[in-house]
Amino acid sequence: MVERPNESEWIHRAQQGDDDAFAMLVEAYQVAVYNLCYRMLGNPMEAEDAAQETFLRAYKGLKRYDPERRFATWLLSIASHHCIDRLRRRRFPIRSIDELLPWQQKADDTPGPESTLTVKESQEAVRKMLEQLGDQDRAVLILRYWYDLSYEEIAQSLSSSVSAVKSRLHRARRQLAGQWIMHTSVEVGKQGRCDEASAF
Amino acid sequence: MKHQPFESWLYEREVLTKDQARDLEDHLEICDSCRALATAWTDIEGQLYSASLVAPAPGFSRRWRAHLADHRRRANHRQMSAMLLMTTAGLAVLSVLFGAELLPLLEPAVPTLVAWGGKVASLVANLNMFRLIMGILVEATVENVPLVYRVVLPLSLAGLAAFWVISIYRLSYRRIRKE
Repeated sequence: MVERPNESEWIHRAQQGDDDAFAMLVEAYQVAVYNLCYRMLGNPMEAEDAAQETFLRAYKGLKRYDPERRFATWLLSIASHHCIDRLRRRRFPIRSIDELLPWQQKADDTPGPESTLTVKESQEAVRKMLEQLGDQDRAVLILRYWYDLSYEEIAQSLSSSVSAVKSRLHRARRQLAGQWIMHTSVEVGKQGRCDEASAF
Repeated sequence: MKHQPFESWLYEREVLTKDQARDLEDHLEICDSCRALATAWTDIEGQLYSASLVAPAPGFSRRWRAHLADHRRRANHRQMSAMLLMTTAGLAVLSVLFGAELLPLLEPAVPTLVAWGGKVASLVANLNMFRLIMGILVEATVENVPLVYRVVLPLSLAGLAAFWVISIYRLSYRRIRKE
């Protein structure tokens, strides 16, 4: 993640109690934080709540922020911990989302109509894959693939060790690969049965 | 067939040495199980890398400001409630601690308080009597005093009252303002 040019100034002003400066930080990092919450929780409404709560916690804890550390990593650390806490508190299973809500937007350029279905299918496939992982493993995978954080940064964000991060990442990858094989074999089986049925 | 360390290597190909990469490729050619895993992981990694960031609904910053304002309002409310609760609890504790001590001190004041209560009651009774007397006087005046006097007398009294109020005002309030 790229550091914004005025970031340190905004942080300094926000630490002095300037709400407008903190609003600039919210504006700059809203997508990063929301995406992490969405990928962790799999639910747009809950992701919105979690992202708002993340910024509130950051606002309240800004005095304790260490400028030596990247602000983005610090913010993502708060978001990760908050999402993991939420997942632990969850009493009900994750609700299925058949498609993104109408107000939800993609951060990058909007794809053309011909590729919209593919993008949605891909998003859904990714969401379902992540849903199968444990909370901590999911957090490690998200921080690695969406935010390109190093093992050290991930370990720092999740208050863990580098070896634990590597171990979690390996486990998550192996689990995903195994599930993918099962998923594709089931799909192939279904396809085969359909072909047989249509032959009669 | 032994799958390790090849099974671990296929998830981290970017950190393998040339020899390790070659050994892995050799193993994948003869091991169906590891080849299936490698293919699956390549597909998944492609999906993970192609998945874009999801943005929140427009107006996130505005909602954040509202969220912050709401949080502050709730924090103020909590603080006020806590203060009220603490004050009440403090008073309750003080009453319990010093109630027994204060009661004997208040005891001598009881007859005085009772006497004051009696005076207030008699004053109210006197006021009622004064009202009654005034009512009788007014009735007698209406019956016996001519109409001219009945108009002139209240007007004179009102004039005197106004004069009195103005004098008091000039002597006290305006003087204070000058000072």
